[in-house]
Amino acid sequence: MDTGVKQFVFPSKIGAGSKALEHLPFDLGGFGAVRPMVVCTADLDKEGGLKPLEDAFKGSGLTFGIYGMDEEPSLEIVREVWTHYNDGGFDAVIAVGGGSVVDVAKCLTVAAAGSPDALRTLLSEGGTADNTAPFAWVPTLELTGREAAPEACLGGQILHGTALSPNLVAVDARMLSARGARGLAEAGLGALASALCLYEAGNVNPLALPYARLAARQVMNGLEPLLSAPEEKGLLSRWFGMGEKREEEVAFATAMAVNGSLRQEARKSLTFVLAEVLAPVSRCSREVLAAVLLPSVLEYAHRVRGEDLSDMLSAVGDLDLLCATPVQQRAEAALALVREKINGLWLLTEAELPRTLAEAGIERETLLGLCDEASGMAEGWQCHEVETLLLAAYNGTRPDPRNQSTRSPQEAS
Amino acid sequence: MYNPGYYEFFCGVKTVAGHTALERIPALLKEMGAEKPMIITDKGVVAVGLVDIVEAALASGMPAVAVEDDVPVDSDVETVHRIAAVYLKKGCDALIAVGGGSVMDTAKGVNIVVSEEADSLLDFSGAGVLKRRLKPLVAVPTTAGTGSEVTQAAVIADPSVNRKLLFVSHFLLPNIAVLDSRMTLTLPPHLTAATAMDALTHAVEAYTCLSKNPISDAFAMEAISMISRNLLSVVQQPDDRDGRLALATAANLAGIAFSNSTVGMVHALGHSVGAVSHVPHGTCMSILLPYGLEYNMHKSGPWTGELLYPIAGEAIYAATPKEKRAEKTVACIRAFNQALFDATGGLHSRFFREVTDRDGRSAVSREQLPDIARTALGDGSIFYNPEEMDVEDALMVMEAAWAGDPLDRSLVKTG
Repeated sequence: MDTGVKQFVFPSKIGAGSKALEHLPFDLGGFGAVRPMVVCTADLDKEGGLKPLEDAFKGSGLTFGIYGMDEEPSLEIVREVWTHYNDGGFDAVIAVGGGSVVDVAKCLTVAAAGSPDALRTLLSEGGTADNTAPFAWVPTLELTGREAAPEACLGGQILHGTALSPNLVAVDARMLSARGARGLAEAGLGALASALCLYEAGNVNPLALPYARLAARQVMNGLEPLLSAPEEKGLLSRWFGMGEKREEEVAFATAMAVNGSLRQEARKSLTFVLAEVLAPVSRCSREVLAAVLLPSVLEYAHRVRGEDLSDMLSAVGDLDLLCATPVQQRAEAALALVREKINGLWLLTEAELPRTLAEAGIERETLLGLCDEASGMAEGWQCHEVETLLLAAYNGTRPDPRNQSTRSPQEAS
Repeated sequence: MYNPGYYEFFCGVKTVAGHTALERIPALLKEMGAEKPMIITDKGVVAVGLVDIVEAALASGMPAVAVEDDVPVDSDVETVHRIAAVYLKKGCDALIAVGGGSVMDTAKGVNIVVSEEADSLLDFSGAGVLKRRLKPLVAVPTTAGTGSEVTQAAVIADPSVNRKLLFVSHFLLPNIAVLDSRMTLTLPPHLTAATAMDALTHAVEAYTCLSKNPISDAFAMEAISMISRNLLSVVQQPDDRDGRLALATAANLAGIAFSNSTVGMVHALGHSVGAVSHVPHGTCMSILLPYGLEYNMHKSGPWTGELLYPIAGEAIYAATPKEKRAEKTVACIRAFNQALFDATGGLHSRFFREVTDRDGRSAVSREQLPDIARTALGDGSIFYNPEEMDVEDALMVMEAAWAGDPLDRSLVKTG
């Protein structure tokens, strides 16, 4: 029963900006750590990407070891890293990078606090990871946006638990050089979806709202400048810190870290439930699918279910636009901005990211075949509603509740 | 968006908010492996029946093993050790603090002693001394203002040497903050106004001080908006449960905002008025907030101007030219104080000259102002104030705030 009680926690301490790495040894020391293990890609290590971290730890009294990953993450990899961790007398984990590097690091923190068998049991039998070794995350721009979330993914299985969020996040401009337009755009889309899907039921959790607004605003305003002409500042000006992009990069990576806190809340939303169902039949990630679905779900919630989404404009537009837009028009204005952003990212990524479910590689018949499953998982939503908005997201049209079901009533039931 | 060179943000407290949030405590404690909680509170909280409500909420799931209600107005070492001894004797394994700042501080002190099996609390004073997790601590605030349920510090007096000890560690953060509308439902309107203005000041100073950051800004904006939308209606209709919950939530968000940035001269002067004239903290904040913003306007005017939207709404924001928004923000806060004065039958003070003590005598005399101004300059809150304030300026601000006159900004010494 929904008693209206809301709850929220974001257990990570964020340090962002100039010399953020230099604070890491002190902060790790606060957890009693003296010998952390760095987990990163082998390439990052080989290319000297850890140099700023090495400089930051000099003279700190803490020394770190490095494990460079060059294989797909698996339980075997975690077991191997754990062996090094155990034999080397390490007492904390620092993940440098994003995506699978962070997943492996999170699993390592679980194994380090218990054993690899404890991790295997959690993966196979489910449950909550509530005991982990001290864990810091240093983002690069190779991120997915779910690194700070209280979850980890290994071999297609997902671990949950607040303890899986990093204890510390150090966002330092010196680590934010490697970039891939599609990856960044995907991370941004996922962040936008997990921030704005909180609005779909109308009654937004006020405890999550500041994080959601911050993340959404950063994607709306800060993502495109990062994707367009990344090298427009000369190398010298970047070396000497004169390129404003450094600030934008730090702000974006910080927003991605903050966004991780929203993932647990987002998972309960219709947007992410549908994305979860569709992900196996799409060429896109769950996060990108969620962004594609988002405008259709929100529009349906607003136009058909009468949810008040006017406040959403304050998350995606600036104050002047908010003031200039009558309350009754704000939901429409916000939805238009979100659609414009998704379409703009399609252009910037040279049509690599989808605007519709059709462009996400989902067949129409497959989609219709999944409607029952999807509505079965979407608490409080009828099958015909789910079908209507899935078709709208497929076609890139506005959801029209007057549309007749494409299937006979018996088939739909 | 303002971006400082480097900043930190942390709030590891799980916040639970709702009209029946207290009933979640047993399940939340079970998740942390606890079974035998102790309630720490003070006699005032017991007297108004709030502990009964908490005990009733715990009764079916995890009844409290002990209730310690002897926390003094200022938390002290002796009380901490006495309560810790009871905790150990009764085999408790978690703490539930029900009350205001002193209760929270005492509970944090008790948690240090029982978790570290310490002979002396004093061994753990200072910053960063604690190195591991403590016992589960649930904080249930009974006013919507202080935000002490989300701070990682505790101030505990040691009367034997006549000093206050500061304990700072992220391990001191409560595990859970429970915001339940029943905890503030009986708070009288003028106290509701004063405590909410305290929260508003936390948020406004967090947004306008020099150590602001983008994340604390987001929290401050949300808190200001919630307080502006709900305070007057709650004062006029004290049984407005939704409004009460909104104020409690806003105070929590404001607490997160200021504990991740800082505050400024409003708090510095307010602490000083409290120390010299014993005026309640919330009253000091209500009176001083517009003066602090006026004083700093040449430095932080654009930030103050941005607050016009959450404080006054879109119509006033849009109708005010950009360069006038800061002044309008100050005017709106003064108008807000006036509305609260009217709504509380004059119990909400607008300036220090009209503040009275329990016997109806003037609480702040003009002769005390120089002493207040001097004392304020030694307060740590002043460190991140946008303008550097000397004793003459502090006195000038206090003179204006005492008389209820707007500040003559042309006299501010600009640095």
